[in-house]
Amino acid sequence: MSKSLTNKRVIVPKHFTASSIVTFINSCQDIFELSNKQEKGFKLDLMKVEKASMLGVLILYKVIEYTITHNCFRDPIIIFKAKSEIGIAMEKYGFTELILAYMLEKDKTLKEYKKLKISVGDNFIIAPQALLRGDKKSREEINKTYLPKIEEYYSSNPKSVAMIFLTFSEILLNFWEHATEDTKSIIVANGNRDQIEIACADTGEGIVSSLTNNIKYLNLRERPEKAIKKSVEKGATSKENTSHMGYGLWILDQITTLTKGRLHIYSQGAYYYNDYGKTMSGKCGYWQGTIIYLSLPLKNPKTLEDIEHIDSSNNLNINWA
Amino acid sequence: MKSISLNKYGPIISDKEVGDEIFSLISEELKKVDKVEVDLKEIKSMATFCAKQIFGSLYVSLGSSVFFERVVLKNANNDLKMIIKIGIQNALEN
Repeated sequence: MSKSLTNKRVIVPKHFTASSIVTFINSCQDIFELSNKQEKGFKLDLMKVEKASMLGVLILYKVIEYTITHNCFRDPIIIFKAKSEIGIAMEKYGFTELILAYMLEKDKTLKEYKKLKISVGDNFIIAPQALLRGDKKSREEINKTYLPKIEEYYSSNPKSVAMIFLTFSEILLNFWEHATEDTKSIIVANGNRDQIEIACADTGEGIVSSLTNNIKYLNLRERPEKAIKKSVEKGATSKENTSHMGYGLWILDQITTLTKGRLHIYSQGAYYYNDYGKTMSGKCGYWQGTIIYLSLPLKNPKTLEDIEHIDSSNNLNINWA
Repeated sequence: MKSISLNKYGPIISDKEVGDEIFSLISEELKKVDKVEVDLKEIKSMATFCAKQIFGSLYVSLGSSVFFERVVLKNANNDLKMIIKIGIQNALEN
């Protein structure tokens, strides 16, 4: 059924944080059926926002990027004040110029992606990084500039670095491998000495459709809340007998439980939450692609060797010099 | 013995294209020399996918004894060792 957001005003939640992402997705899910529709009179209202987190800003950016790139609306309007809380949050996390470029000067968006930079203060590091498919230089930048800065910030806590890099490895792999239709995304980290948040949002192929491409999970296609829960189980993969193992999300989930952190995943009509070791999944509005949000305390960091029952046979013939 | 440093790919390997490149690099050297030493000093972590793609594939194609004789993995941290073992184990189970 064709959807319409003509003359519709989407109001961004008052507290636009991890706890209200479902509300926002519910209100804007129809955008994913408006590719090239150029609906008129759409307004994205940010005036009610009193608090916005890194994840909220990332999702906001992604909605704007998607709707502009896919010509969903004709002359969409974003209602906000630069000095409002959402304006301050956009500035804080480094998204202001990029979002403005999408709204006002689309030709300059690529340039703005390349200007994203890490901010480091006495007690914080904010690190947005463009994920530009097909741009080898930006991909190399992740290893040459981005991750070394995070490593430097946490250099007094090597195990935290190991945990952070382990999670980055799996989140990035997930993006490059599964979000193949998404050419321009951002991974963003926000941390201090006590904790780190990492988030990545794409509008490519989501976890639900990807996993249920495997005939073993075909019965979950109409039950996205079951599929998303299955996706964090060890060995659940869309592509068996390939290099895909189905360990990535499972590792993120295990690390979250062990550190008493938070892992939120949204994809194609479903969400999965691991809040401090308590898990739940359910239905929500449709998000094309996948959103991964991870918040890990750094007081007692964990790595693979802390995960029980992991398959790491000692019977293998490996020559470790 | 030929030494291959993976430093330029670090600190993390999380990309299929890079995994393909490293697999080819090691495979090509194995055609020329008896033994290859892979230096992982600057690799802090690796996606399990890439561990399977690179080392799982080599282990399966060479066989366990030949892999042990001809491929030396140097300077791997404990996490990386575990990731590589998971990748190999999984490749063997497929």
